[in-house]
Amino acid sequence: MLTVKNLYKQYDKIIAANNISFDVQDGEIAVLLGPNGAGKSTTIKCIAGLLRYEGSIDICGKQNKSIEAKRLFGYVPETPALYEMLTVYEHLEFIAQAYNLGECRQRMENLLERFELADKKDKLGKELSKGMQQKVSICCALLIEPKVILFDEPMVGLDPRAIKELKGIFLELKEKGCSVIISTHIIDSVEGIWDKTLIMKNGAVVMSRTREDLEKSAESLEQLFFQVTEG
Amino acid sequence: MKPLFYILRKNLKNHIKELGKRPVVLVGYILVALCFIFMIAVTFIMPSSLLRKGSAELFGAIVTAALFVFAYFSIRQGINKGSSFFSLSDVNLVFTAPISPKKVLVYGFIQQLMVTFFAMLFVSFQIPNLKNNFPITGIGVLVIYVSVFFLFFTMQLIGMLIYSVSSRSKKLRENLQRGFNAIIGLFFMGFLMVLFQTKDPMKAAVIYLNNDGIGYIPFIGWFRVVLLSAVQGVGPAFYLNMVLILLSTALMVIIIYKLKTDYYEDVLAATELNEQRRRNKKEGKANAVWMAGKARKVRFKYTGTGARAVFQRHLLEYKKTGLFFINKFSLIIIGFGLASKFFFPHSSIRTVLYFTIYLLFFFSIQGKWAQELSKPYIYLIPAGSAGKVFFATLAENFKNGMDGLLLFITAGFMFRSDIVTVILCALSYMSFGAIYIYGDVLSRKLFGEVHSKNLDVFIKLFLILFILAPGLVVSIIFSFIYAGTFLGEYGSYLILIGYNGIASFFILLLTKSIFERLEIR
Repeated sequence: MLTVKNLYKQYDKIIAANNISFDVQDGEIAVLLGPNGAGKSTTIKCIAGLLRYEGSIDICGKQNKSIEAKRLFGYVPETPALYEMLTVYEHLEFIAQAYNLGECRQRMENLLERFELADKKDKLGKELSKGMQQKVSICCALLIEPKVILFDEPMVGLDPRAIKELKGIFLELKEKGCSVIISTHIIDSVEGIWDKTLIMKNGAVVMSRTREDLEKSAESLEQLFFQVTEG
Repeated sequence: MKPLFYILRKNLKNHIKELGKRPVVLVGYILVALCFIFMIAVTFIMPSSLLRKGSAELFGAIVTAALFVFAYFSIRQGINKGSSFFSLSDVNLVFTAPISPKKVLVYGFIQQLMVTFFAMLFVSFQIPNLKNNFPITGIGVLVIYVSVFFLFFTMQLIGMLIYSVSSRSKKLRENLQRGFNAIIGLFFMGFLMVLFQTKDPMKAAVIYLNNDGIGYIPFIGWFRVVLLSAVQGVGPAFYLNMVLILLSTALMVIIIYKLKTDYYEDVLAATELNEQRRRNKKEGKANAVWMAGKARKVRFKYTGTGARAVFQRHLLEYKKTGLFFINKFSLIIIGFGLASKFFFPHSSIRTVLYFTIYLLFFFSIQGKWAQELSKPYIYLIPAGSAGKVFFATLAENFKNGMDGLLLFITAGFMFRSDIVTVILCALSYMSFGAIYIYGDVLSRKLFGEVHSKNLDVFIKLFLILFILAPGLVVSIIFSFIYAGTFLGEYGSYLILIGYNGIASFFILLLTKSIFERLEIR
């Protein structure tokens, strides 16, 4: 479970996250929607512990920057950042060691197979296309079997098959009780899989709706998005 | 040409406007400009050969070596990737616009001239040093400026033309590469023959690089004669070779302008490469990428977990790009050690130490620690902050130790230094490396991530100077007091090593919680 309370983040004179509060329950898929510059990536980075912030962020009841919390969450960055001199497989080996995952070779092989990386496992990070790098990033985050997982624009650069696979993974994670947070501005990409939406604008969550709320009002996610962001 | 001039004009205007918005950067630029003006004034006012009167032969050897190195890299890039005057935004927006490729080429030339002009700024900082050591006159300074300006421009054109030939087929490129390698091989064999006769590397280099035959090599020979005029005076040979350079440069421009109207494909690979380099430079990993080179397949087994895995990953990276800690940079260091006697003929191994620790600073700020912080993994892994700092910096300390040892064994051999001095110099080098690494950690702890890369380097430089100063001062005073004694000989090194080691340790303690505050860029 993820709990964000009064999150505030300022860069110089720009308030990127203004008093944001929300939670994502176990087995829930939450999507952060918003136009460019709304503060989605900043929010995700604060949750991942990559930025300083004011407020509180708890992962399964533990402060997000604590070692205990770090064991529990995975993060897929907006721009994949791989080590140039490590192969695809060595990235997974490194994560397995850094997170002290024990024996997980089979899990690595399965992930590589699933994302069509098995035949590229000896390729160096610098030799991969952006889409391939994104797939490796996703595999690294999934390898730790997280309780909370953060995806920042995960579909960008992926081929249609990988997008389909990833959507399947979102649902599997949900079934396993993982809290999934997906930041995106491509509304179509999360249609049909989300449980809760948080629409952001100018650094604030301006609307929060569950799927049931939306079904009751007979509105589409896209309609709601434009109504909120352009209204 | 109107839309192309529009880009140039707006680019310049927006740069200036941007400076107005960032006064700190503006101050930095003003300081650099003042330094530049000061350097030019000093260059013309100061008398030459203040420190020593280097011979024209030595100047000729240095100039020829520099020309060969410059030509080597230009031709090698020309064969593989070509050369480009353009940015990727030019490729996307200008190449696809309904503008004549000839006009686009002129636009490229203008951009290159501007880049070349900025490159001249760096030359300005080296001229006083040359003037200190060689009898360069006022007109000689002008000669250096003019020839370096043409050298930058001409080598770009050569790269572009070579690529237009080599890009026709893979086989042709491979053959050109083989031919080029064979020429390099022959060149070194020639040097070895002279070395065999003289038994003195420095003497051999001076004789070999002043060989009359070099004068007949196009461009290198011409530029050599022109540059030698800086110490020998301007005579008919200068004018003749300058005319040859001008005519051949003009001919290359005409070939590209008139004959190669479909050159867009030829510059594409080099443009992408330039863009990547620019990106690497901006991200502070230009040196790291250049040094990494090709990776070997190696077997490696992790034994540590948590932050220790970061250290082991660094070991794996070093293993892939070299033999344990010995990599491309180590080879350069060894080369420098061998050439040190040539660069500092009247100095000692101590001069080599001071010069290399100055260079090490610029490599350290783009080292493993800085690279580690540019990726999210170190922030995410479940380990304590102190462990992360320690293990993320450990491998680089070992690397500095190994490089120091290699450098001073070779330099010690050249300067006939004793083994204790060699070991002390290597340890001093390593200890300065540690100060640079932990000075960077401290700078990030105190000031966070500074957005301007240049300002960031300035801040780190001043902070590190501030940290180093007490140790350096005590060491220098000590060596003066005990000059000529056993204590004076080795004690000053021990003071430096001790002080740097203790200071690094205290900074490590002071910054152990940095990951609780550090933000990814």
